[in-house]
Amino acid sequence: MEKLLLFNPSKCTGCKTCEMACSLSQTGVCNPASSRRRTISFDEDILDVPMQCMQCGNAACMNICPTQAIYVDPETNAKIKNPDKCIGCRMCMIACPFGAISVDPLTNKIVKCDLCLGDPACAKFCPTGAIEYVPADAYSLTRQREAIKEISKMMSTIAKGGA
Amino acid sequence: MYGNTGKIAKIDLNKGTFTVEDTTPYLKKYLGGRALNHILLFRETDTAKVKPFDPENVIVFGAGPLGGTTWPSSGRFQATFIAPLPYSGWGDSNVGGAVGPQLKFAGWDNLVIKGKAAEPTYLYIEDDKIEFRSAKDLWGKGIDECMHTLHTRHLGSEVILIGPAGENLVKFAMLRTHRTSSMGRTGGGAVMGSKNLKGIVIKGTKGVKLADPNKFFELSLQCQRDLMDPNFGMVHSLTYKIMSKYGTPGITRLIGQTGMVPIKNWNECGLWAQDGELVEYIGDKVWQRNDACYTCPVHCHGAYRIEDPVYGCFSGGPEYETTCALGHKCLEPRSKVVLKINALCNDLGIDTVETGNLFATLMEWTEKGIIDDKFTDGVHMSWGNGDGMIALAEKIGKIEGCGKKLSEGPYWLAKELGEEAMKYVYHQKGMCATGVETRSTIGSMLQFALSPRGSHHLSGLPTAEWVNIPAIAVHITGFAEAGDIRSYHPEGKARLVQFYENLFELPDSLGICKFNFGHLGYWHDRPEDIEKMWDYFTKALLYSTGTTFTKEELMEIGERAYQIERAVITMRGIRRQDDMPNWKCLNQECPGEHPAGPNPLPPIDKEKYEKILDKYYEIRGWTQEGVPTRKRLEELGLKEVADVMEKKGVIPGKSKPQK
Repeated sequence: MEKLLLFNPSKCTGCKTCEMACSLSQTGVCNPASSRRRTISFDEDILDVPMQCMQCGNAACMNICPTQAIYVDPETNAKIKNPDKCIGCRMCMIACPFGAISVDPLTNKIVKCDLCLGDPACAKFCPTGAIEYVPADAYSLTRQREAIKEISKMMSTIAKGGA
Repeated sequence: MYGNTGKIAKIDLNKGTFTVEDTTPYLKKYLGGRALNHILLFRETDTAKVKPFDPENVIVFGAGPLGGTTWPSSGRFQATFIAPLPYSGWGDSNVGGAVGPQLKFAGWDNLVIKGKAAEPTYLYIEDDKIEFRSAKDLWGKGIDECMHTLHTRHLGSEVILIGPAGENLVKFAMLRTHRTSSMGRTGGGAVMGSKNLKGIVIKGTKGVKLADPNKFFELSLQCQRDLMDPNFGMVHSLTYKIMSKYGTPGITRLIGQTGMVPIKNWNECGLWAQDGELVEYIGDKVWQRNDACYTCPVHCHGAYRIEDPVYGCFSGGPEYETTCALGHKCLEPRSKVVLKINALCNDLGIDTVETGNLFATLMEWTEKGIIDDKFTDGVHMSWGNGDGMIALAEKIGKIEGCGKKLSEGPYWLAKELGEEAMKYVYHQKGMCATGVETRSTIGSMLQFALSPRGSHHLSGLPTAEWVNIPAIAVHITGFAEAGDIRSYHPEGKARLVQFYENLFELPDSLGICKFNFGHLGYWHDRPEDIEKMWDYFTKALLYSTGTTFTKEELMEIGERAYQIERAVITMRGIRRQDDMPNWKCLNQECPGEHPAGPNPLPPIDKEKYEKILDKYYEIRGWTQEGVPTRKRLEELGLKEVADVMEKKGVIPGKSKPQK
């Protein structure tokens, strides 16, 4: 089963270790501006969301690239940028619906998540499990179990005559 | 340069200009962060004479070589300055959040800020660029609103700000960054206000380079896993389990059992009936989720929103220190009232600890008939009057009515009111204590009394004593008595305290959290864990900076930093008498429910305490008046400090015999 890099904002504490781990492993420098992923904070809502490349199946970045610089890695299914083919037109940045493609300010080059070739540093470092790299079926099953817990809480409230 | 970025910005608010200094020569002697701040402050202003609100006063900020990396809790940020609250004048304050890392990402290790801007200003730092922007539209406004404005105006930035209290020179005004993190103590907010400086906005894109990125990556990951392992160390496993859910308020009952929690302005101590309710209210009911500082796995902070027609509010925190100061010390049992006052203080920019200490002192003065209701504009400050506290907090922040005089804080108010009033001010060197009953633990008493910035635990709380771990006490001092909370063993206590004082300079100088630093070694019950901790930090420094540091060298950096603090305060007049416990500690017993130690706790034995002090001065290489000697300073490579002290007439000249 294919492994997926997934995130759960309800577990995120906004520590941004993921940005540090990503930039350090990808560039050798601790620099959130070079990170292939960002955690966005919404202070007023007490919410932090770890945003990242979703490795879309029918990826807009890949489809729009005029030089076919973005290809699919057969092992991880990651959409990877080939720096030799990239002409730096930034169409992929515009096309990505998640804003997950960025320009590394140190190199001025387009950068995107490559799943660390199957061992993503962000998931390894995330202390709360808000970022996970797991097989797709295991993920769905876990989320379903969590959902059932929520539903059973609601059911028992209803049974007690509440809500 | 690796680890550190290699640059210090020296900012002149008078002229609106800055110069750049190289950090490289400082690394081996001062690391960065706190220790480096200290020597920069010492060099950049006349620390013997300068008044807190003089434009010549300097406020130094620093991040440290591990700051802004994958190292767990690398978000700490240190400020050092001459302070308005403690009469010793020593000002230092440390904060989490993400502003320290952001400074390093912009390419700066430290900021040295002097002068006074002509009009309200904020600094905008983006990589090499430092701009002086108008803060006229922000002046007078609360921190919450200003933070939102600046975060929106400068997307992706981190911000540290003062509120109306800082602008109004409230002596215990703070700086705040992020939702939940404040530089609370000693009045740094007022020093910023006196410089017309509303805050600093930082956006960095350059990052922190490391000498050995791969090894650092692996080591920091291993350290993070250790910190979260429930079987790692004794005290740690307790604190991680509790603090990652309930934050610092979660440890209230744990430390209450040693008698260390003060109640009713230090008239009682130990466990309080409200402890459980308060902790559960925060951790289980109002915290929507836990909040973490930069790269910290512990996430001991939280933010809350309370829907209530009277006490409705939205803010971050509170810490144990806040709940203890506003709840325990003032006998306010209603949690939501405590959280409402916390929210007010956070927005106005006042330190919740000294605010609580002030209210508790006003309550005792009211009870003793030292003040009447006129003193507080008709508010009757009886024990537990939370609504009165809410009314006064607003007046203090905005210096309206009695708020103007209350903004001086309890010590300076008592200076006006007289000797009787001063008896009930639980202070050392002019700043009231954090949430610790110092009569409960003799080593803590010594450490609180000596602390340069006034009464608080962060300058070296001897944890091997208060969690009673004889093995660690022996490991550090050679004396098992050092680990006994009731013992007055002179050498044991003196060695224990001076060791922890030197040790506690290190996390602030590295740029990491003191809690996690303790969790990794000195809060354990096994001496071998301590060696593991040193292994972690010597390696972390090697992989980040590329420079070798031994355990002994690091402890010497700690001592160097502490001796600079002492040199400055002795130049400002601090002597032996200022290291003596306050009136309550020496004259009053303290009743309270707690399984450890006697009930009531007896007052501190003055004679026995002075014997510890004698020994402590000897170990420190100070005179029996507590003044550092040229010999010791020169051994530590601080000749420049000794020279200034000699010029100021505080230590005798080389040719003259020592008295």
